[in-house]
Amino acid sequence: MKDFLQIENLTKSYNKETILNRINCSIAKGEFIVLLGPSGCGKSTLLNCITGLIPFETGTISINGKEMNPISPANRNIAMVFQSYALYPNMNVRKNISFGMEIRKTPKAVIDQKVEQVAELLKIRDHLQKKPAHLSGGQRQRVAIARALVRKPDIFLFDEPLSNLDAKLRVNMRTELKKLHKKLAATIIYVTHDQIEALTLANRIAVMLNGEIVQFDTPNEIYHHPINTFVAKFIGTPVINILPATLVRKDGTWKLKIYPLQKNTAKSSHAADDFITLPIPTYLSEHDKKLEQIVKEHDGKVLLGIRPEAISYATQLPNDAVPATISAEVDVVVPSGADTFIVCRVLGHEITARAHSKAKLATPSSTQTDKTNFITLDIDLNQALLFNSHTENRIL
Amino acid sequence: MRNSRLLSLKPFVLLGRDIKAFLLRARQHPTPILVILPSFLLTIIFVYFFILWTLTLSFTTSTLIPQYNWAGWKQYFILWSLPNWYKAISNLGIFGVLYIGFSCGIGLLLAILLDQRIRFEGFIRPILLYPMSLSFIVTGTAWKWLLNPGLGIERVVRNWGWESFTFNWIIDPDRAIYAVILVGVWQSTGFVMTLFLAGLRGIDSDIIKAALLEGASIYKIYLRIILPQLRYTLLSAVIILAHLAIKSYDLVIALTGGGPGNATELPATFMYSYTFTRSKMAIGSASAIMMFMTVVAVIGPYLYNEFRTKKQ
Amino acid sequence: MKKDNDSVLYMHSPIIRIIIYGLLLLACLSFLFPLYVMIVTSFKTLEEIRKANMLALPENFTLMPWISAWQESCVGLRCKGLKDYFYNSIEIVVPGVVISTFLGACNGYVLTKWRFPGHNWVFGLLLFGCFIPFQAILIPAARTLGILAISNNPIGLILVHIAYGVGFTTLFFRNYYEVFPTELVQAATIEGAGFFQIFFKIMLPSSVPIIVVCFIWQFTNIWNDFIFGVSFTSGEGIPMTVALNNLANSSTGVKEYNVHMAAAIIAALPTLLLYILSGRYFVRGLMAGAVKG
Repeated sequence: MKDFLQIENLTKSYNKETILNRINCSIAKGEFIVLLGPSGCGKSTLLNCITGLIPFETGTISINGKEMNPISPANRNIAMVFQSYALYPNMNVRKNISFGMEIRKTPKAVIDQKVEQVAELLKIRDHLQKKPAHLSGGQRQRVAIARALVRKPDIFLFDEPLSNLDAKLRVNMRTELKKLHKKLAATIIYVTHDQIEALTLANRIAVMLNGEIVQFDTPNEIYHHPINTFVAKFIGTPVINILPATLVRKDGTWKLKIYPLQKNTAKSSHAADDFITLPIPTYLSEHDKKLEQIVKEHDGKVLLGIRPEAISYATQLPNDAVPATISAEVDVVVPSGADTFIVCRVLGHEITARAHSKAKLATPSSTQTDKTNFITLDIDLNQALLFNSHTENRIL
Repeated sequence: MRNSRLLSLKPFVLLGRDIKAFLLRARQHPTPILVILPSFLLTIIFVYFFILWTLTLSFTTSTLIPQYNWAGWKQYFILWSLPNWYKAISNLGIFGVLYIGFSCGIGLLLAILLDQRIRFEGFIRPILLYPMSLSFIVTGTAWKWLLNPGLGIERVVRNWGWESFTFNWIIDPDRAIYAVILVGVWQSTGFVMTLFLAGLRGIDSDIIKAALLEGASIYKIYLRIILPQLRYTLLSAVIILAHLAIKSYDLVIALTGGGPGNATELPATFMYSYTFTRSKMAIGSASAIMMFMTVVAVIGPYLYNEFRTKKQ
Repeated sequence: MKKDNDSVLYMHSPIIRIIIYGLLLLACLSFLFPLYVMIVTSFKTLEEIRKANMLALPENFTLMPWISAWQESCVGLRCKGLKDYFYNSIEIVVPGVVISTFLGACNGYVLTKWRFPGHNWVFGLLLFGCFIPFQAILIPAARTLGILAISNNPIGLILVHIAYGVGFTTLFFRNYYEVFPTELVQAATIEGAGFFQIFFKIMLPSSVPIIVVCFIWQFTNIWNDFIFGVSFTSGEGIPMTVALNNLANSSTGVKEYNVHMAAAIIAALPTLLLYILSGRYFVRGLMAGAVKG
């Protein structure tokens, strides 16, 4: 069942502004899909189009091969967990869970049995008589999920469900959601702007920007092969380093040159004596033609993307690495538990590198600001990505 | 250029599109529209149609019963030549200015006093506000007795030994309007105080702390930081009081009945007496339309503004 | 917004404190003084009123003014007291309040959760109706009630009070529902609830505070109304305020101030009690009515 939920050519605009532009995607039964993007990218609107709560101009949405456009939200057999949980304040937890079934005139005995089951599953049996106002954030979250579960819908929609919880609870609920998905084999579409949530939960992530799906792939692919600099920057913390570089061929081998920040501008294009030369990633060396085309079209100008973990200080590079060393001036050292990140400057470009937390590092002391502190960093160019300097799309 | 923009059909095109969209929705999803329809029709008839009706009557020669003959602006000319109407208008001017001024002034003062972390605030506030729950007829009846020179406040003070004390505003044609103002202020001040108190409580204390840290004195803080932030509250208060002043009828009727003579005649009492007791319906209608226009001039821009900012 | 009780701003020297408390005490006394005089006067005999100080407590405590006001005093030519007019008012107030509140709730619900093209126009037109001076509609309203044969009839007054109250009640509910989470409506829609189910099972049960505010506002307005009562009713059909005015302003006979005061208190009692019992909601209603749009 590859096309359990299919969205074709969906376009939605509001006040002449296009919010969703020709969205196409299909989702298999049992998949956990995350819609990821910055606020205002249209991900919540897409979710609401799937529910049928807001109308759209063109395109079709079908579930299980059946077109949903003319079908009311109530009859789409979809359940949704809202960011604010949307628990009915005037009803206790039991009523909240059973409300939908009562509307559908399900027999009382069946309702009771189902409520018990789902309350057991989500460990909220003790709270069935309480009003939502008397529950903690985590408990409300569970009730909201229970309310969605109890109807056994075809598709679950989650609209940033964890964003109102505190950090620790969020991590717990993330794990529980993952377990729940595995246990129920449910089809889930989950909206978030938190890339960690997306990476940990999703089977596939749809990264959205300006009303379009930019990339729709597995978390691994999205992390390692982002389609453009936007996706590359949106996923991964700390943010990927992006440096302007120039492709040059020297003695038959391709190299990447990085010029100092100020000398890269048109004004002072003289004497580029101060630069760094780096080897290119292995996977690019077979694509001579493509590289030549870049030299022809853009003077060889590219954007070099390297994730912080590929720039390391005093740690071992992997065996297949294409190594290089550079000298960098340390700005700040940011410890973050297992790793320590070093924000430093290479020829004026700010980059972030990773060091092991136990690596000895002299932080530049604040009292002697004039004293510079240089360290040597190892770069694995094999993990580097090249982007077109104009379109910012990944090259190969 | 400017002319062509003035003559632009765009508003009509937009309205046409709105109507089309509305009709489409009405066909697709009629329930909400049907639910609001009774209230809407009731308002259309009782407010808008009735106002047009009154307007029509003001252009006729109706006396005891409506007549639908065209008399042009005649009734308005008559209205504006009546000394009684001038009295009503000038009284409204005096009443409006002093009533609004004193209510706001005393209301603001009381709000500031009450905002000084007063121990019995919860006790004092209801005392200042309770007149607002009373009918103007009740207030008027009570104050008529208090202001009665022979039996009321005047006699009390004289009994205390101040023999020459006179407080006979209510029977003095030159002062009776001030008696109305006094009672009006008594009734409304608590309400204005409540508005200002809410305004004061709405000011972020961090701003005040910042000013204190910068060395501003308490009086400076009130004058330069707190009071300027209350200007929108003041605007609301003035608009509401102005609106109350223009339509106030009950208070005058209960307190003075418009008298002595026509000393406390207001447009509201003028309209009523010309229409229902003197059987000059057309003049009554003309005066009602004048009152309506005044209210529109006061409330209209305010409502329009509130509405527009809400929409954005 | 937060405000610190111990802020330096509120620390005054003892003298200033005394002045502040003094002024507030003066204000309280002048606000309470008419009520006090009304109450003491209503327990005095006419004899005593003529003789003694208005502020003095009754020497010969008597309930006669109250009894007289309730069942013997003359309104016009009819000397059966105010009790029938009191019931008249109740007969008008109860349906008027209930129906206008219900309509307001429906309208607020539609105008926030089921918006249709042009909803702002509808709201604007309803809202503007709150502010018109009643003089501008008095004659047509009187004619219309006459044509419909419901003038001098509670139904006529109820209709009028609904027509001119629905703007305010709609405003109250619209502002309340405006911040009522739309997600709740969406969640219920997905679960299969329809327009009326959502209204009766989710919106209304969660609206108790605004229903109370609306109830108090409408009750006070309708009970205290004078101009509609005096214009559209006469004789035995008049409401309490009109009866009180007729009683107190009757030009015949001796002015029985003690009876007038008792009558005024009786007329004030329902709204005064409502205010005392639910002051917080009363204030909320005033504020909601003040901060419009």
